Parts: sequence; C-alpha cells; structure tokens
Amino acid sequence: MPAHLGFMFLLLALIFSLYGFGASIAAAWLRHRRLYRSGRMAATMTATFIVLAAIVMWLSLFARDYSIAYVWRNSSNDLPAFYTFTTFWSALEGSHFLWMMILAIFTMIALWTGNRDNEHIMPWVAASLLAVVSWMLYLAVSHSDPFVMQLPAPTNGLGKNPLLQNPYMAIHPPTLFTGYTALAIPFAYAIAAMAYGDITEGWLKTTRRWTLFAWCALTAGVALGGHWAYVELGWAGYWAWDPVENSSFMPWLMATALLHSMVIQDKLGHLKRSGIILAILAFFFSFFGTFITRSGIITSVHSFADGNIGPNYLIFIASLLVGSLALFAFRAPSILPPDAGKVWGVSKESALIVTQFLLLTLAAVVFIGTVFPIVSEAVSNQRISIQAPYFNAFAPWIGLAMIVAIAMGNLLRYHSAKIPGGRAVLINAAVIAILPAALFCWRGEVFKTTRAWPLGAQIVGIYLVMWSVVCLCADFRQRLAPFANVAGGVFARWAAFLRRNTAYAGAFVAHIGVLLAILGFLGNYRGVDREVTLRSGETASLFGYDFTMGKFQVREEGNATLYEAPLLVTRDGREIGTVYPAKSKYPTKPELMNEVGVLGGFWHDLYAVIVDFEKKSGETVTLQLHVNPTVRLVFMSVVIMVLGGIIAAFDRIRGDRSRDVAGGVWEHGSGGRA
Amino acid sequence: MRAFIIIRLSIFWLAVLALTAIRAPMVFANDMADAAAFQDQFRDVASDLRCPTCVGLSVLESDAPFSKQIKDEVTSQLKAGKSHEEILTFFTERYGPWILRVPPKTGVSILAWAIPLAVLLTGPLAVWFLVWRRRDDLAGVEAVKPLEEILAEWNRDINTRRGSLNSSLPGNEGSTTLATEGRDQA
Repeated sequence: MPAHLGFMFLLLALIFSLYGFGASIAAAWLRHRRLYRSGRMAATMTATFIVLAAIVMWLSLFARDYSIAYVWRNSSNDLPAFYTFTTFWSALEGSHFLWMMILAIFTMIALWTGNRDNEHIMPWVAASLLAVVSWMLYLAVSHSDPFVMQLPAPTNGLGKNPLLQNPYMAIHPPTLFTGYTALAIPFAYAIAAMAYGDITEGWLKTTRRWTLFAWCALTAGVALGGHWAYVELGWAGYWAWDPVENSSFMPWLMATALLHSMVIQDKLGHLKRSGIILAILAFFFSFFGTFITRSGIITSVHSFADGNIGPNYLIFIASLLVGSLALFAFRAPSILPPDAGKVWGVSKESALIVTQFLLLTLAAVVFIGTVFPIVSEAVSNQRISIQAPYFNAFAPWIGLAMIVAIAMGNLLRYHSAKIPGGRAVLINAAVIAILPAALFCWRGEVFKTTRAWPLGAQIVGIYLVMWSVVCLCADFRQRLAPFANVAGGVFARWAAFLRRNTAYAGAFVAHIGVLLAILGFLGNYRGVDREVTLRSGETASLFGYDFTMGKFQVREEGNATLYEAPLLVTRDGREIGTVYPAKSKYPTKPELMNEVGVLGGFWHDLYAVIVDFEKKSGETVTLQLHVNPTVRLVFMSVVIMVLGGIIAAFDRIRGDRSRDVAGGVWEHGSGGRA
Repeated sequence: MRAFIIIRLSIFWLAVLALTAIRAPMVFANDMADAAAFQDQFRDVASDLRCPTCVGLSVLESDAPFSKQIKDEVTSQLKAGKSHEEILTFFTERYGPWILRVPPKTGVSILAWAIPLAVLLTGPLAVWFLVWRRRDDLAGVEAVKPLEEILAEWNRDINTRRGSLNSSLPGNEGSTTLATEGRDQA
C-alpha cells in the first residue's frame, strides 16, 4: 500500500527531526561536538525520508492510484504527464508537503555547508531549523496528511483545477516556496546569534548569501505568479493587490530591507540588532503568507483551505513571533554595537536607513491593507473591502521616494565622504535624462494612452526613473575610473573591476532592474480597452491596431477542447501577427475557462479575451480587447533584478576572517574527523 | 564651456519634449468625442465598486453576472444625470461600505488611512531624530581620524616605548619597528 508507505516515511522523518532538534539543543548546551553531528545526520535523514515520501506521492499520481484521496481529488485519467507531475502541489496538503520538503532540503544544505564559518553557532542553527521542520511534519501527519486513504478506490479522479493547468503553475509555487523557505536560514542564524551573543563576519557572509538566494527566488516567484495571473485569469493585469499576492510581497520587502541593513553591518558594523529583527520578520511574514493561504481566513483565489489546519498555523506563527521577540528582548543587549561611535549625517549609511524606512513603510501599508478587513469585522462588525485603489493611494508615493533614494543613495559615500563633483553629476543627470524620457514618451505613445491629469504623473515618473538611471550610470563610471590603469587591455580591466566590486556590480544591475520595473508599472495606468462583438471577417480597431476576426475554430489540445477565435492584427495596413483568444473546456469540469490571447511587444501587449460566443454556430464572438503598455518591460526587469542578485552572491572576498572564532568551541566529543 | 554645452543640450531636448507634447492635444481632440467622455465617467465609477463575487477586482474588470448588473445600474444612473458621489452613496446604502473598494473614512476604518499616513509623515522625523541628530551627540567629540593616522600614532607610541626598553636591553637593536602591514583593518 503506497499510502501506508508514504505515511510511514513522513512519520520516520518526524521522529528524526524531533531527535535532531533535541540533540542540537543538548549539543549547544553541553558544547558536545559528536552530539551536534548526530543532530546534523538526523536532519539529513529527515530530508531523505521526506524526499522518499514525495517519490511515493509522485509514483501514486502517475499510477493514478485513486485510493489516495489527494490523487483522487486533484487529478483524473485524462491529465497529461506534465500536469500530473505538478498536481503534487496543486492543493492544500501537497503544497504543504512541497514547502516542507524544500525546507528540509535547505536545512540539510545549510547544516552541511555552514560549518566552516559558523561552527560555534551551528547547533543553534540546527535546532531552530529542525524545530520548524518538525512542526511542518507534525502538521503533515495530523491535519494535513497527503496520504489519507479513499477506499474503495474510484476509477477516475475528480480532475485538476483548470486554472492550475498552465505552465507557470509548474514553476511558480516551487520558486516562491524556495524563497519562503530559504528565509528560514537567516531566521535560524538570527536565533543562533542571539543564543551565542555575538555576530561574526562568517555569520554575516552566510546569512547574506542565503538572504540573497531567497531574495532572487522570491523576486522570480512573485513575478511568475503575476505572469500566471496575466495569461490565465483574463482581466488584463498581473497584480491585483490580492491578499495572497500581498503576503508574498511582504517577505520580499522584508528581505530587501534585510539586505540593505546587512550592507551597513558589513561596512560599518552597525545595525546588528535591526538585522536580527528583520531576519525574524522576513521569515515570520513568509509563514504569515502560508497561513493566509492555508486558513482561508481572507477570501482569495489562492485559498484552497478547509479543516482545522488554520488555527494550528495561527498558534505556530504566533508562538514563532512571540518566542523570537522574547528571545530578542532578553538576548539582544548582549550583541554589542562596535566601539566606534557613529556620525550618520548626509552619507550612504543614512540613505540606506531611509531605504529601509521606505521598504518597511510599504510593507506596513500592505500589511494593514491585507489584515484590516478582518480586524474591522472583528472589532466593529463592519464588513469592508480593501482593494487596489487603497494601495494605489500610497504605493506610487513610496515608489517615487524610492526612485530618488536609489539615485541619491548610490551617489553618496560612507562616512559622509563626498564623491568628486557630486552636485554636477546630479545636475548633469537631470539634463541628460530628458533625452531618454522624451524618447520613451514618444516611442511608447504615452501621450496617446492617458487622460489629462495622469499624463503629468506619467511624465514625472518616467523622467525621474531616467534621471535615476543616469545617476546610477554616472556612479558606475566613477567606480570604474580607478581601474583605467590596469594593464592587459579592456578585458583585464573589467575583470579586475568585477573581482573587486562583485557586490557593487550586482547591486547596480539589481537597482537598474528595480527602476525599469517602476517604469513598467507606470504602464498599468495607461492601458486602453474596448469590448466588441465580431463576425468572421469583421474588423475592430483599438489604439491604431485593427483586429480582423478569422475563422472560428474548435480544436483539441492536450486534454482540453479549445474554442478559438483567431484575430489578425494589422497596423496601418502592416501585418503584426495573430492573437488566439479562446475558451477551453476540460473533461472533468463543467465550466468554460478563459484562454487569453497575447501578442507581446516591447511597448504594448495586445491582449484579447473571449467574453462570450454564439454557442451553436460560433458565428459571433464578443471579445474584450486590451492594449497593455510595458508589461513585457516589467517581466524583463524582473529578470535583470534576479541577475543582479545572482551576481552579488558571487562576492567571495568577505567574511573568511572569523574562521578562527568558529574553531575551538567544543568541550566534549571532539574526537574523529572534522 | 561645459555649462554652455549643458544649456544648449537642455534647450534642444526641451524643444524635443515640447514638440512631442504638442502632438498630444491633437490626439485628444480626435479621440475624445462625447461618448468617450461618458465612457471615462463610467470607468471612474465602475472602478470604485468591487465585483461582489470575485477577488480583488472591480466591477469594471469583471464579467461576472452580478458585476454586469451593477454596471448596467451605473450606466442608467449616469444617464439619469447622477454624479459619481451620488452613485457610490446609492450602492453603499444598498450593500454597505463593503461594496466600495477602499475602506470608508469613518469609524474604525479611518485607522486604515490614518496609520500609513502617520507612518509616512512621522517616519522621516523619527529617522531625523534617531539618525541625523546623533551628530549633535558627538559634537563635543573630536573628529574621527583616518585609520592610517591612528595606526601611525600607535606605532610611534609603541616604538618609543620599545625603544626605551630596547636601549636597556643590549643586542636587540635590529627589530624596532612593529609591522602594521597585514593587520586586520576592519
């Protein structure tokens, strides 16, 4: 019985993780090395058994073993292999399972790789991580058991949610969960630093790298989710400030703030304690997001929740927060600031503080907007909605401040030092930026797409972004200048520059990405759309594009039947391409789903959705046509941001000096290999 | 010379911008018939009302049956000459403040507006007091010396002491300088 086998693997994993947790605590207490290493081995076994259980689940999915209720509820005989594979995480128990599996694997990796720089705190790191893993495993064998049986086994399943039969659903959840769970490692290191009572350079090195990794994964994961919404839901946008989108955005904001706080910690040794708080909050919010998804406390497209897993999550995240903050209250005073006093003044470190303030304020707005409806209903019994217009009342202002902060902050230097000709750079950039801004407005047809007053906001936004980009480039040039004398030609010069400035180069790329993303977000306020009803051969025009409907067709694709209305798009008589909006019908579900037709370009996406069609003959089709400016720019800029994060993670210079601290911490059990 | 170039460049690009801007009203004049103005008004109202059956969408963005009813109602009320505010009030009375996409600015809900505003306004002050004001605390303290200077002083100091020590110990004149290279400068 595969279900029994899978459940047994999970149970074994739970036992191992509990042992590992206990052994790690004892090892930290007794400073017993072999005990710690047995804990680490237990963590390895935990990950192994979870992976084995996952293999059982995948095999059952492919074997269409409907005696497992999860398989029965979420798949069916007609499901293609690819979506059978992704069914693993397409419902509550499975996505909990995936979360847990990624966390266990990262726990194992963190414990095996962190030793060289952080041996003195590893038992605490192991204990914190294994505590979380055990909790997840406890839920997996009690309230969220993926291997619940369904006997006698039905001959066909209920079928997978058609919304999830999309390629983006194959990579969005794993990527996002990678980001969520990777934030557990900075959290565990924060707890360990408090238990140990100090932060070393090795701590900073390891934590920074994991945070960067988590940040990249979160950035990509959030964007992939947005892209899924864009091509699957059919309302022509990628971000609705939906509660679950928000709760994936909050840990991103926290992780970003944490990265900026770590820069100060690295360069000046300050803000150690605020870094710890941010690491705790980042992980708390990634769990908070999971809680929101699982509990269904806030209605959302994403909540596939039922049962009593919600209260369990609430207990856990509450105790996570209270416990960590209590530990912080008791132990933070032992983490001393550096001896040198700090003159903040007008300097890069102050700009980094302002950046963190902006990020945290945005997080606060998002948090209030997400939980306030519940609070309001509980306190005053008044049901209210908080949707996009609320967030749009605050977010653009914070975004504006961020553009300025990015430009100024990069031009400033540490310790109130001045860059040569800083003021001239700012002014020259203000002039130079006019050209790209005008070019963008012209090529992007900005004047055509907006009404009177948002037009001003658009121009100011576009101009400021361009100004900021120019400032960043000027700063890059100044940093490159000292390398002008490096012998060996252009290649050697750039190699030397990149070797010495890996982290800076990464930050530069990531900041350019953020600015381009903001430029792309501005396009959200410029889109135009129109609803038309067409017969075959008829033409509708929108924004200078002519959409001519071709022959309505019915065809099979995978397990779905598509009802498709191809639209030939021309502009001034020149052919641009064809969009294929469709409705689809899946064998196991009665309703028709939207299959959006998108014809992407750099400046505009042409986006078509079938609202309705004449069911008997397919002669008339009612369509919603949209012109969405700069959507592609947003997704391109996300790629740039992730690239920047990856470059920054290759910074290999920092943090090797504390290795001697890490050795010599053990009192017992030091025999054997290191 | 440099300033001259900058001025010339800025005049050129401002001209480019102005030329582009001139095109805009013409486009507006063409596209903005009365119907379009009505359409804009309709959009403004419809995007302030939530779709009762969806998540996170306005009735404007939704084609759910309930949203369609609301949109029809909005259209007929606009045609009857009702203002944006009047229509929103009508829907609020019928469905409660829940139908609006933003929380009302009364009762407990005002906190949803007040807290972010308070954070945005007082935050910079807090940063100012916590961060920039530290400068005053250190006003009496002498300026931070460059690291090289501190090290050199330290070196001098130690060497003088060692020098006096060395002079009392015969046969030790060879190594009197304490190396500072390779010190951990962080």
